[in-house]
Amino acid sequence: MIQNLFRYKIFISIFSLSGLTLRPLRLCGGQSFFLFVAFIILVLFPPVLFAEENIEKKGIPVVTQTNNEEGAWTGIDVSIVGKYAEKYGHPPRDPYINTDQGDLLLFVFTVAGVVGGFVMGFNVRKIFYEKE
Amino acid sequence: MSRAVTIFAIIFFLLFISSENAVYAMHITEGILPPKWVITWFAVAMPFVGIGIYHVKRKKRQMPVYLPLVGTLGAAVFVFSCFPIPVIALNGMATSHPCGTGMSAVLLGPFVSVLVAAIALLIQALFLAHGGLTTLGGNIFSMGIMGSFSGYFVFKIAQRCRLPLFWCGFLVGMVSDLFTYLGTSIELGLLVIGKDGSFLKATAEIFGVFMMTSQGVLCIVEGIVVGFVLVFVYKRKPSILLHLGVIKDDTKPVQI
Repeated sequence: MIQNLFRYKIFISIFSLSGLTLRPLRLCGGQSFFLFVAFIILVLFPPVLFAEENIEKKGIPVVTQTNNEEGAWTGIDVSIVGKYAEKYGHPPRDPYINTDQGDLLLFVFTVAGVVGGFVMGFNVRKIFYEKE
Repeated sequence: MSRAVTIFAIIFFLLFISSENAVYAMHITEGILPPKWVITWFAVAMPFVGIGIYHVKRKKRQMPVYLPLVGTLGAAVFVFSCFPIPVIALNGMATSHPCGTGMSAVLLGPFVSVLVAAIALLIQALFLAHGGLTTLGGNIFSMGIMGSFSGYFVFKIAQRCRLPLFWCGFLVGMVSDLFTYLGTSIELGLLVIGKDGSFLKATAEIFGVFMMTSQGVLCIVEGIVVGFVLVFVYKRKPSILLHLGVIKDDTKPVQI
């Protein structure tokens, strides 16, 4: 419990630091890319590593939140593309970069939605509402 | 630059070793395409992407608003193509996603639309467990090339038929969506070659299943969205459509 709390504190401090590194991003010019990469590492990795370690230590059976259960609101790409690929002898395999672990996928989708929405909103305002 | 590549390689490797779960996601996922088709689809897609980069460089000099427009439509294609929309289909409740490449093809041109789709698919493969890196060429073919060029040509035909702008956009959205899934069906259908299967039969079967499940409904939704987008751009800033050569002065959009 104490160990988990300690890890949680480390994660929070890393997360806060990664957030702080984004603030002077514009001032850093050429170093922006490296800061962005550092931010991705710091934000993406702690949840992935912690989640896997906890499962191993507690002996909890690995229950993944993958989308391969067919049922209500199943994506047609899941049920159709996967089904026919298996039928023709080429079943889908793990992606090389697997973010579909626990709530990590929810996190990246949220980030993607926020970034995509921001880019769209910013440019729509620039194109359609600002004076030339 | 070499430092950037090294850092990217380290991230890629670390994420690679952390991957252990089977994922069935949208588009064509890792492992479905054998190596010969991976190479073929990359070879087919890359020239289109290269021409797209050339077109962006050329057009941004001619039209200052072009680059923000590429950014907007790029974000739109990215969001559209990873946006599972619940649809009540023939087989019950399902989700599917639109493509948005028809809309970008009309506004940016088909080659730039392929480029935009390629970037969106790459980001999805890297961070969202959607599609795949080895199947990127195949997904660019279906969503980028098939979706963009079908939408672009349908728009030109609809304009020749003097249809109102909304209905031109509607047809663009609908047809580009259908052709995207036709592209996916072709790629899956090609897997039966050499396995005593008929390519045409397999392609028709997969495409038919796509249509009967949810895509038949969703293509209409995408058509309506694209129609509204074109009418919005025309009402708000028709000079953009004129500059891009999308409309001529005599085009009369319907009032909605």
